[in-house]
Amino acid sequence: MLIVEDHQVVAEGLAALINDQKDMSVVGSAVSVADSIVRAAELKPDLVLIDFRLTDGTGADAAVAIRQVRPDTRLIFLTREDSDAARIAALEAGASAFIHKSRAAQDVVDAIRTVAQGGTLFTPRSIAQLLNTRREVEAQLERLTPREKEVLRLMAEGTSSREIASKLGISYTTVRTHIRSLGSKLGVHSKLEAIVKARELALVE
Amino acid sequence: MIGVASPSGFTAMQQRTFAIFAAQVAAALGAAQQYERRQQMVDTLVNLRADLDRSEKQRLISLERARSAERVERAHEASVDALLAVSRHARTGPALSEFYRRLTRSIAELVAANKVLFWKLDEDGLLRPIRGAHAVGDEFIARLYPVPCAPDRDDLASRVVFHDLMFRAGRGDGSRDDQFALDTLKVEDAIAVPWRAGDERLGLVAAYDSRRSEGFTREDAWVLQKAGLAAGLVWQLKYAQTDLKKTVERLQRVDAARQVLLKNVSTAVDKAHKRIAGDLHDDALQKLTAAELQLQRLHEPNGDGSAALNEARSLLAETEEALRRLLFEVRPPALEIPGGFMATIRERIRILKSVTGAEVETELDLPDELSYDFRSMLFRQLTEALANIEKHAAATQIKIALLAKEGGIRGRVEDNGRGFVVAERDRLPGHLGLLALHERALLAGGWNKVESEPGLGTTIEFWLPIAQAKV
Repeated sequence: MLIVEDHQVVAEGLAALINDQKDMSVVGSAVSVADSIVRAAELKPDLVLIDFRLTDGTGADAAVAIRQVRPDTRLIFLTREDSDAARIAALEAGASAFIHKSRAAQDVVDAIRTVAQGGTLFTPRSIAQLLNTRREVEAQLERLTPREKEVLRLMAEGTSSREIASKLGISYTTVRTHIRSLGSKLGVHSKLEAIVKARELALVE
Repeated sequence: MIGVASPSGFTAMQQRTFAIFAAQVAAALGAAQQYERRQQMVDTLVNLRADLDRSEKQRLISLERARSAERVERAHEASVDALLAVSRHARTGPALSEFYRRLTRSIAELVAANKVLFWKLDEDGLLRPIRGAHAVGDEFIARLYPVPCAPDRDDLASRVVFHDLMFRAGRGDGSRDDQFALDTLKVEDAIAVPWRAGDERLGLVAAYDSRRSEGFTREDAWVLQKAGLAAGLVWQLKYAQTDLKKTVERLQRVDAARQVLLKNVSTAVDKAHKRIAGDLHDDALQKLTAAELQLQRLHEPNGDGSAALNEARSLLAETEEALRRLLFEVRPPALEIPGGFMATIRERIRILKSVTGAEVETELDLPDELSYDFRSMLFRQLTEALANIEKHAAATQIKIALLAKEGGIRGRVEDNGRGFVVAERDRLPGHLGLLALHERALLAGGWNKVESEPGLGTTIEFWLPIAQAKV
């Protein structure tokens, strides 16, 4: 098994816990997306434990790359990220499990066993729910023009309308028009709603 | 009739004599009567003359009264004109110079003068002509020297300015002083009156070279005085307006600066929140996860329980230290209490030692009386510099100095760690600490300098002025 985790103490703890199991062993660890691809090709692990947030990209990026090199590798995401967007990204990257770090100690060993035996921790119901959410998000995103997305993103970052105008090189009135249309398309009327919506649509972290 | 009586009778002679006597008496009586009448007539004549004199005098007085009343009325009208002119100009345009030019032109017309000039008393007690008056060229001004002027002086200017003397002089009359004044000014005649606003003595107003054949009249001086009084008030108003405008402009600038500052502060607060969240995520939470993983090993039948426990214990200790450091940054515990400042700094340095394991040399010499604001700022500045070492430097030797210098505190934090390329680090995201060091120092009116080279360690130096610590 390969551990992809940029925090050394966590990687060490995971390795120790896993190595305590008779039926598992950690063959190596990687700290970044780039590192994980090289190590996966080199060590040929059956299973990869991936942190979702890495210094040079997301765990999903790493997962996609690893599956290209070794399509049979099973993937478990171990992360503090708790958003639907992250879950969807993991699912799409071919992950078999998505474990929150706060449950890691209790759940990780069982999860590894389940996944190693070909199982998955994603229930059909949770998958359906996630896909549903994604469809909604996509539908909403499709309704927006690229400019409107940009304006929403900037709004969510706390940029004032005038600053948005100067950043995008458009007039203040045009910005107001975009904001009005965001209001009618997404029901976004305040800065706070913009932040919530932009998170939902994964336009901002 | 007069008669005498005698028993023996009177001779003819006696009778004639008596008749003559009677006639004499009669004549004398007549003369006396005449005299008396003449006397009466003389008296009457004298009385008549006196009456005549009286009425002539009365007539002259009435005439004079009528004339002076007319003069007063004329002067009144002229003064009203002067006041009107001043107040009219008061409303025209905001520029003091334009107001002055128009004002002097109007007053010159009212007093029939070629030139009207205001002399302003400056703070050094010198009376100086104000440039830019109507029809007063630079060559005229160039002849004029500042005149010392004070309440206790006896010269003409001082008496006009401080004792309300209305000076009026023409060629060929007046004292030698007057002539000297005219000579100096190279004018034919002049009037000068005080220019005041209430009790405040602003200077004097002077008119030169009358266009009247008889020269300046008393009424001219009077009109000039009224104009001077009105001008004083209007001048103050104008000056106050200009002053107000400047104040408003200054306030606007201050407000703009405040807005920028406020924005920076809120951005800074935002940045601080992000950093704390980032620190929590990158450090304490990861260590807790690791500790949980180690503790979980205790349940594993094959696990090395005591090793796991030790590992977990040390991870928890590290977590505690990490959280303590974070808390320390958010709210330094003992900054408020007396003597707490030094204790807080020492505690922070202890944490630095424990986190890095480096050898730390310190030199602290701080004044006892530093405001809370300043202590807080200085502490944050130091903490920022130390956090930088803890996160990035991997140093084995650290030198810290905080010394009172040049009305402020000079700080120097030196490490022998990794170092970096300063120009690059400034542009990299996620290294807001160095930026915060600069921003804080600048906002406080001080400076911050970072010197570093890859492999050669880093030196952070700053100076924060004590006086302006409240920014």
